[in-house]
Amino acid sequence: MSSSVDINHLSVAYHGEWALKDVSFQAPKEEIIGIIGPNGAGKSTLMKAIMGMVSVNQGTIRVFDQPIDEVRSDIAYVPQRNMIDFDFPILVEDVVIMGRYPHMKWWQRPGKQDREKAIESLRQVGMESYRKRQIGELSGGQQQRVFIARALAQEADLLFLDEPFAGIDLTSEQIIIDLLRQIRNQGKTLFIVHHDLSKVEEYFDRLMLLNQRLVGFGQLQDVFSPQLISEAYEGQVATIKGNNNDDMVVVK
Amino acid sequence: MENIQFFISGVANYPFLQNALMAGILVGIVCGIVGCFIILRGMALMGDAISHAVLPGVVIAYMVGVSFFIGAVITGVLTALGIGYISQNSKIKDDSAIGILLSGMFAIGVILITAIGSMEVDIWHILFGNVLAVSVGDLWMTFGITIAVIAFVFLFYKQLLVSTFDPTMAKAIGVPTKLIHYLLMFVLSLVTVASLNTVGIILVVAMLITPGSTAYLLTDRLPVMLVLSATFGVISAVTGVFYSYIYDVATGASMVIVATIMFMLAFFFSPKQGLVVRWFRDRSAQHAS
Repeated sequence: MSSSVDINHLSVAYHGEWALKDVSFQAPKEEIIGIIGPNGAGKSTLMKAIMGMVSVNQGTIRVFDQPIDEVRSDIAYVPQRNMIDFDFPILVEDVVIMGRYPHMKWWQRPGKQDREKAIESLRQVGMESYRKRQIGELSGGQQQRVFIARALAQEADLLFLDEPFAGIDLTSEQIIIDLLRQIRNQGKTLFIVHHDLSKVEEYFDRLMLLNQRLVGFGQLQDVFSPQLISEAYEGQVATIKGNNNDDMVVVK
Repeated sequence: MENIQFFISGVANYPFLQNALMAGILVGIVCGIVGCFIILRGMALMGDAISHAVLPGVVIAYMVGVSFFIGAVITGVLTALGIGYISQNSKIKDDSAIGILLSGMFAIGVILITAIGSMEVDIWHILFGNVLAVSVGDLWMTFGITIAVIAFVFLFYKQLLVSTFDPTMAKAIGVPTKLIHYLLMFVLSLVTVASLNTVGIILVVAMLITPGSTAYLLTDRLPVMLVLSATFGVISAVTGVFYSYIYDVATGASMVIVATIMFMLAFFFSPKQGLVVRWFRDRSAQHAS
């Protein structure tokens, strides 16, 4: 089986400091892959590198066996909520229509088909009835669903989500994870940057532990171990023996 | 009523007043449109910096004998590049970099003007405008800039929207966000030149920011905001020219005062955001509970 993302010896530096050092991995398709690691571990740098947004010092990145520039429209991005100005004068449906931009020529305007695709995507995330609302009138979870709809409207096969559960209530979190699983089952690959260790086992099919270099990447049972986690978090982790022989991991 | 008749007959009889009115309307439109993007990108200070930085360019252009236009664009864009360079290559924050270059460039302009000591370049007119001196040539230039800016916003609306709302996505889908930023700086320099005679360098930032902010309080959609902002710009311009003709006061300042009054009205009374409206809503909510 071919891979979704194939990275070879990737190194990225910002202002002379390494953000990522010699990262190599091959990610399969049709999985939900969690990227975790401490602050400054290079999680967003990795994501931006795969989306072709940072200049790479060394190494190669291939997405669906092609260079990034060939597959840009096939990669969708769901921003972290605090990166967005929710006072922006824009309606929910206009946000989703942005997902159609990569399919248009630079001078083209969204047409009827783009509009229909946007509405269909909103229906899929259960936000159709909110399409004429201003984006800031929605709750955090609803806003997140709108941005997921935008990725769906883009018809991308690879999705990057930056902290999709940050600042969202538990009910919404459940709705969103169900939605993400549904999207995976449609044959898409999802990378999720996640900063806390709770729910990791529940949410992800595969896990990546990052701290500038790749600490671990693979099946949950292999990677989500106290040793690797404390290695990634560099001792900011205390391991506590659980009652039933399970190790508990606590991040300070 | 009498005043309005007096104004209308003035417009009918005096070409200088016709030119002033036309220039004011064009400036209202072009500043209103560009201003919306400046506000949404949080670049109000940048607008102020570029408009001030245009001064040395205008003076040098005058000394060399080329169009104002060229000088203004060169110093305007150089300043924008300089601000970006300083904030990216040192720990100086954006607003400080803007402050340093704004005043530095402005000072160079003032020194140059006083050094040439010419009676033809009146510093007062460049700083505060001299709407009575709008020539037909100036009018055409302002008209050309207005058309070019409207075409720019119309053609690149999608790119402007996505790079303003979600710059990360814009970069990811291959929109040249840096280029768009510097194109906007270029447009800002053009708009400042276009506004030179009407409002002058010092007050042009008000024509950029104030009508757009008024529109921002009144709508949830960018296309509506653009139209409203241009409309408020035109209303400010026409009313400003009117009062300055009737009471013989500075035109640019009159335009800015009208724009400010409209902003205050929207701030207190807009249906969604207005302070007074919110106060009544909170009070009736308290009574209901």
